[in-house]
Amino acid sequence: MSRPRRRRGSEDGWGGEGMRGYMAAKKRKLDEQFETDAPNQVQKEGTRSNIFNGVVIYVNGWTDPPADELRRLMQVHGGRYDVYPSRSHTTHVIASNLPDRKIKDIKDKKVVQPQWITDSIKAGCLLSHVPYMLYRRDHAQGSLNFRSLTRTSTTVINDDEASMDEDSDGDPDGVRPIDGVRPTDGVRPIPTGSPGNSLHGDDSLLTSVTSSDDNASLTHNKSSFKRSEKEASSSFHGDDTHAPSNYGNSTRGDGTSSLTSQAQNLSKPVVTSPSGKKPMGSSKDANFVAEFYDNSRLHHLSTWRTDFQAYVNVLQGKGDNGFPGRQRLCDHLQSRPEATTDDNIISFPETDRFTPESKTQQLGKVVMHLDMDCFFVSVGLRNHPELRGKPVAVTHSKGKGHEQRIRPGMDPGYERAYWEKRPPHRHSVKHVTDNTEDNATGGNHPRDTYMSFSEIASCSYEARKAGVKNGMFMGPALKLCPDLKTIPYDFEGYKEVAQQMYDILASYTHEIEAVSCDEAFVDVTDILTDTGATPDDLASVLRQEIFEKTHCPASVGLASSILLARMATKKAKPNGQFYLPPEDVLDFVSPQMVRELPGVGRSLESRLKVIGVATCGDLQKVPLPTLQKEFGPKTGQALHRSCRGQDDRQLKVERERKSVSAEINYGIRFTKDTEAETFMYNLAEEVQRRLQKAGLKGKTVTVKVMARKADAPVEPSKFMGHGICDSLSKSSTLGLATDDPKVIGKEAWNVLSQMKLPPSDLRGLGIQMTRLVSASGASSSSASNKSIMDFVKAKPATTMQQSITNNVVHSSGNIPETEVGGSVVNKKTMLDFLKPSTITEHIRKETSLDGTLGTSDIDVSETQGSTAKKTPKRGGLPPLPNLPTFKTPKAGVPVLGRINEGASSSHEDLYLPSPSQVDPSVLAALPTDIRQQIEQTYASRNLPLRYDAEEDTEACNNEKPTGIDQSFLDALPPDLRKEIEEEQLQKVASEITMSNRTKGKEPSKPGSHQLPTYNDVAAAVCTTEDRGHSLLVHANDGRDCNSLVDRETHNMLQSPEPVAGPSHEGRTKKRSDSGPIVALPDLNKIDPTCLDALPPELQQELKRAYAQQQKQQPVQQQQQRPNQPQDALKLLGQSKGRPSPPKAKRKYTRRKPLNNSPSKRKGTAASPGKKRLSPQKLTWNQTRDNVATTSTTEPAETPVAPAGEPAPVEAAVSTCDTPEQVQQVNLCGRVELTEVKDLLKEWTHTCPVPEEEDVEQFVQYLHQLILDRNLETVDLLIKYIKRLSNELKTSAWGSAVEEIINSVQGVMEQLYGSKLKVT
Amino acid sequence: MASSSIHQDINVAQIAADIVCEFLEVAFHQILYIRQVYPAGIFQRRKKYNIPVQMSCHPDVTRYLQDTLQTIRPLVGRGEVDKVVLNVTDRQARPLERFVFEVTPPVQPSVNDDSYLLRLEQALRAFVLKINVCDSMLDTLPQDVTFSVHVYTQDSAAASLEQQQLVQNFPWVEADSDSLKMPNARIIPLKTMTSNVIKMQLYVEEGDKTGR
Repeated sequence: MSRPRRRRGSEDGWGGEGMRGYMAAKKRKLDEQFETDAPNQVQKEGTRSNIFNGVVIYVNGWTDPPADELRRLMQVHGGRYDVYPSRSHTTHVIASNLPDRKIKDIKDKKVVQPQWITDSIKAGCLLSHVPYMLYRRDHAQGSLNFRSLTRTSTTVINDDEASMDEDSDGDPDGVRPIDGVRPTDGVRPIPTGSPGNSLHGDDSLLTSVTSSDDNASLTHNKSSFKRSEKEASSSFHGDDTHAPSNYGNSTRGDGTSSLTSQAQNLSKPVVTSPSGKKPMGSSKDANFVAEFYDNSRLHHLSTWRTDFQAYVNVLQGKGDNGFPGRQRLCDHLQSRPEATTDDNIISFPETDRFTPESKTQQLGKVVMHLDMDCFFVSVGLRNHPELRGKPVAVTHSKGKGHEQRIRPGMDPGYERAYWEKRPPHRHSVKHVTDNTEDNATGGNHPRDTYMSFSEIASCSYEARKAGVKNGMFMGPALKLCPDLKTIPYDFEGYKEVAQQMYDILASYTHEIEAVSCDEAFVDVTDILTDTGATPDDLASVLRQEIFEKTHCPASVGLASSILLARMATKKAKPNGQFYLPPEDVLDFVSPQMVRELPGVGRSLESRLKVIGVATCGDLQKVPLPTLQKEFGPKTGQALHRSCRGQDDRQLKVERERKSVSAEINYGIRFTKDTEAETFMYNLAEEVQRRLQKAGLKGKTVTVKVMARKADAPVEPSKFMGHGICDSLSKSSTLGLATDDPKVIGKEAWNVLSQMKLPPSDLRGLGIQMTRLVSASGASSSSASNKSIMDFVKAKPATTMQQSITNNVVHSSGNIPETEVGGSVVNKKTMLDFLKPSTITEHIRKETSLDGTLGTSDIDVSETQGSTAKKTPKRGGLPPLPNLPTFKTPKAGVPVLGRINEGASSSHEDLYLPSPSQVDPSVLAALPTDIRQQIEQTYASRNLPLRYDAEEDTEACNNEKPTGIDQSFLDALPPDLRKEIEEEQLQKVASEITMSNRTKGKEPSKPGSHQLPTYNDVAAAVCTTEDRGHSLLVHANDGRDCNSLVDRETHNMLQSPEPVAGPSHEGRTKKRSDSGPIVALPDLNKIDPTCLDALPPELQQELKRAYAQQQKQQPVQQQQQRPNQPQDALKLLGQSKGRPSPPKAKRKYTRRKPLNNSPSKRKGTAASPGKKRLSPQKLTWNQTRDNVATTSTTEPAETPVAPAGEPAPVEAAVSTCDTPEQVQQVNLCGRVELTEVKDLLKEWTHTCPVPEEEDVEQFVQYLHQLILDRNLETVDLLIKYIKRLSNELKTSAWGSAVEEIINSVQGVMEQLYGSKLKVT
Repeated sequence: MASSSIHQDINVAQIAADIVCEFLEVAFHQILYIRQVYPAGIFQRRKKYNIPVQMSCHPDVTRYLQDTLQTIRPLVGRGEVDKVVLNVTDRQARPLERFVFEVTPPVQPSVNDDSYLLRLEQALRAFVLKINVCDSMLDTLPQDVTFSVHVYTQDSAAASLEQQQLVQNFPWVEADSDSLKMPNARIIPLKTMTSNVIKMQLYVEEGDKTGR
């Protein structure tokens, strides 16, 4: 059942809960049916038992007997049957066969074969389910070796778990003296003599613990925060009255050193403890994080729960090879069947002993809660037997306190005010009332400044009697209990004892829920059934055993549920045991404070207080509807049940890790962003260590930040502490789960920098990884991370293999560069790599890597070894232009994915890009070995790759008369190549005809036949691009050209230019600068569109160059229309320096030659064959000719500016053009179509043979019309002149018209890609 | 110039864009009618530019044209549209005829000389009338044809088109070269107009239909 969305309103009839409400109602109804049906069944059966009391089964899948039968059996024998599985209620899942998926889903339940039920009924009692378990938990997490639990690497699950330790130790009970001293590591044992002479020992002890405590308290800051709250409030207020006694007390140490601050102690040269070496390690230090965790050991405690849970899982996975503990229990029972082993046993007298069979039926489920009594103290006392019976506290402080030195930026008053404002903690209620008196009496006593910010982690019951609480600061604690002795932390001891405790538990059963290092829930139902022992027997035997082994007292509570067991333990403390029989539950629960109930925290407690509820008894009186109304349906229900001792929570024997984090809130003082950045990376490494230890990878990076509260003092009272902070957190999700510290660090830093906090305000930083997946199994994550490439690219394995082989061969030289330290997960050998399956696997990773930003190198670094690592990269990333990033994988790789994304999405060839994709300049820039590698790979696949094309472009241009580097052409895609070749052919053809035609007139210049091919090629490319891609080059729009050329390099071409656009221009410019005459291409080699695309200044330059080249030739000025593709020659013509107005024609000068010089025409009449003109050439000649003939140019009418007027020749139909416009396209001044037609008519009628000049002029006019986007007129004129020539029926005119049409078609072909339809 | 001050606050380019898009819509409908891309039954006779024009009343066709022009209107306003092409294709999306509208912003956009846009209207009317007779200049189309609208513009403009999508769910895609290439195409110029508001010419690229 998927979780339905909560709907608003209650119109759905299910209390506004929609589907959920419906399901709840349905379940309730089913339960009711079950209940009401039960008596009938019993009647039918004739028998009735209570074997399965407390057992709730859920039948999954096919079973024998079937589910209905099981349901009936459960009804008859006192069990329950769930139709829908419930995480909290269901105790056993009955199944004969389960798919793995279901096993995973219900892994925290006991999956039992149905025979368990039938056999139990046969036996008449509830048998242990263990032999009937369907499967062992060996599929669970890998084993965890406790020996490897070192100080440096730990795992944190949830920070707030730490508070549980404190709570469990916080019970106000006595502690039993225990003998046996064990040396601790790193800390000198305190001399056993009088405290007064232990200065040295105290110092070292103090220092060693100071840092660790500080660090640890910061690590799980929630608990410490809470503690420090209440501490502070008590310490500030308690100062005045208690200060004198503190001073008296300080004689226990050394009179002079008692006032020295912690900080001084820390930096004292006397210090010999390991943490003393760098006591004030700054967060700016590169090794800060590592050192921090080296020194901080308290944070282990919070992590131990995980370890023990894992340990329990391991045990469960092993199955039950007999429980030696049970045997011991049986032995014990036989030897002393009646004796109670401990005086402290509190047992209800009416609890009778049962025979095993009847007892299980009576007892039902029994949960044991085992808790070590003030764990830290009792472990510590093993080394300090002399302190037994005295008030003892575990803390890092020597207990003398110090005069607060005000460091710059400190404001103790602020912090005090802050703590005072906080709502009172339950432990500090008493102190608060005390403090009010203190304030009234003491006022601003100078002793106010006395404070010690070292916290008491745990204190003995003797100390508790004096009012000392766990989590207090040392200062106030000493006031309450002047005799308080302090002992240091003994982490090794804690671990050892905890381990022993769990070992003992595990020898009885595996139904253990580890709560913390000193606390566990155990489902002892099985044990009791097996051995027939009473709960008290079990408890006493167990406690005895624990005490013998660990010399630490333990308290045990037994009851029918977790909740009650915990409450029972409270009652049993210290060092006792308490069994709560089911029938006494209500009586027992009533006096309990509501605070003890699960889910009741400070706020709920205060809310309950408002309605007059303090104890569970009070709560029992509140009807359920009221509770539900007040606290919501769920909370209300929970309260209603739990205050009656009803708790159907099952032991959570197996928990899944939800997050892995590392957090440091101590000693963070940055001045620069870079320091914070470095710190983040260091912290990420710590996270990586933890992730790797847990064998996990995280996908979401959460950055937790403690930033100084805006108005808080710069320097907190606690030395290097975080002071009063705002806690912020922000997270970011990576594309792939990772444990790569660089990726994590980078992401974390990104997130942090997004918060835009000043580095100096940072007081605590943490990185938390969530959405964990198993590191080893791509299986666990594969479902979500599967790439399409999985499905597509299975077949080309052979080519992949080939390319990979090649790459591997050459990659050796680069290994050190690409090696990313640290990650050794799944290191693969080369051989592995060559297996196609692994290859596809890597491809999958590779491709998904391309698709997901920011995480590119994670996978690679994790799943592959150093050598292997670079191979798939080389092979897999399609665009080789990115290759250089291999040189700097550490810095650049995460970006890689981004860069690749566009290109890689479209690659058809998985391993190598097509050669045309390879940017030659990039390739050329590569180190030789890499380049060779690539070349070789290409060679092996028979693909031409010309990385050197670019290098030689310049040379080629000057050398090869054909104009196009053949290699360059080769590298082009076939279609493009073809086009360019055609273009080239055309050009050559036109060149030939041109030179033929102009032989006599125009001496060919030395430079004219040198073909600087770049321009040609680029021009060709421009035009093809233009046609093929719907792109149009706008004149004077350099940007456009850039993007155009850019595209072409990017998409299809191996362009001779590395950075296409700009350097295209640059190249041209350079050429014109350096040697215009030599290098200038022939004019008609220049593609006008390309030229137009150049920026104006460049055009100017080119023009100047050409002007220089041909300055002896007079040229008529042509108008320039920048917004349209234009014949290059016209543009160039403008720059010839001769301001020659286009208006020249307006003078109608042309008419005279037309009309009056027929002889001239005759002379120049040429054979038609020779008149096949290239349009450019024609234009060129035309212009010269025009200028030559028009002598009456007016200098006043200078060339038009680039953004000049348009020159429309308006057709007659379009009447909206402006007649007064001066620069219109005209034929001898005729603008209007009718005028032009008249002129043409006149011309054809007057001249029997058209003079070449006139033809040229007319053609020129038509060209201008085409450029002016006035095809209509062109069309009409062509038709008209054709008609005229047809009327004349002279071959001269016919060929002239043909020439005209050809010329027009040429221009049309060039500009529009197709010809006019001339009929 | 006193007269110019009257129109100073008028964004001529914007007006031009509106006029062009309006005209294109009319023209497209007219072409579809004239070239019989759709049966004459789906067209209604309307009056535009003081002449009768045919307008499709098929909602999908109308919608497509409207959306197309709506999206390119800003581009036209910025003078970033080079050509708008009505591409008549066969069922295989091979172009048969391309009605190319080349739109160029005038060099000096102003409405001063044609305050009431009367001449502009005349010119546009002439356009439409020319379209009406284009049938005679073109080969007959095969039976089963469809059409699409292409816009020739710059890369940057295309990008902006994608970014600021005016009409939702009406994305533009880059035309593939197949839908642009017409072997042996011939250009049949239809109409050209030049004004200070709009400069536009229409020609038809006609593919060699016999070759197919």
